[in-house]
Amino acid sequence: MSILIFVVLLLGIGAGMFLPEHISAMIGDYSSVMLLILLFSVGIDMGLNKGVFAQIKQLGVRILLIPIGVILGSLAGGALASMLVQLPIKEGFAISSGLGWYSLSGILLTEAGNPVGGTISFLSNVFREMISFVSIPFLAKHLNGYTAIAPAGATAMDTTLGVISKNTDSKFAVLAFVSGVICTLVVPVLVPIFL
Amino acid sequence: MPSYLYNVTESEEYMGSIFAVLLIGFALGFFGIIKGRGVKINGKLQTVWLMLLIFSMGVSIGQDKEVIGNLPILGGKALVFAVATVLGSIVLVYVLSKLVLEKKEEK
Repeated sequence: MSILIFVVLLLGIGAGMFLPEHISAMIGDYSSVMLLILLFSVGIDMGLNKGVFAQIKQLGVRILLIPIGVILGSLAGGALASMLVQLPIKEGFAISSGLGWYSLSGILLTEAGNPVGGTISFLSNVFREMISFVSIPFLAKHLNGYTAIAPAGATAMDTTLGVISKNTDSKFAVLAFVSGVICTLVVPVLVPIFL
Repeated sequence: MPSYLYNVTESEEYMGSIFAVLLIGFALGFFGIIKGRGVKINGKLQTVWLMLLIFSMGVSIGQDKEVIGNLPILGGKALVFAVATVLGSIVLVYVLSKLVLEKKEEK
């Protein structure tokens, strides 16, 4: 499924670049409607598995290890990346704290007076979402469901939840949603710490 | 009000609508309103919705002048950050899943 998603994503990007602006703007606007329809469908799958909450209850507070792993892993990656591209490590932490929520992370850096950092953050979190779409089916197949949640970051509660649900099962879909909500709540708090 | 605060308020409404559609879908599945053939059709349609979402998100990225215009200058650095954060998250969550989460499952 990774390859199919990659092809569809590239086709979409190509269409967005070359279609007349009013048509691509209209399709782009529909993405939020598509998202809600997809999540409705994911919700049905979640409801079908009656044992899902018992399975999650068994994990208890340990389910927090997923968003904690995602956040600390992202910060570690951000530290490494800032060394590679020679940016101050603090800025690297701010960029990586976006956790895939590009619309917010870019604005936070730009408003703090760092438009270049804001643009890097915006782009890198857009890329993070695209990499998530393509890598999640591969990770679910070759590693495990927990790891398939990892790249998604904050997007695990919305745009990438469908890919996770489709490639794992309803237990991991619920875990992904919880992790995504926690990451989403953490981003507006975490990014300003590093500004 | 700074625009990022406005953005946060807006995102609360957005999160509300996500919770709402998930809950409605969940109730339909949980109480057996959608069952049997409906479940199969839902599974097939889910792939269709997923591909349409990914395509339309690709379109929004492709038509975004900010993304495309900045790619030649800052795209490389941004890509390094994207790959590094994804890899960091994957490694750490994988280790935690092997050390703690999957062990708990086996018991």
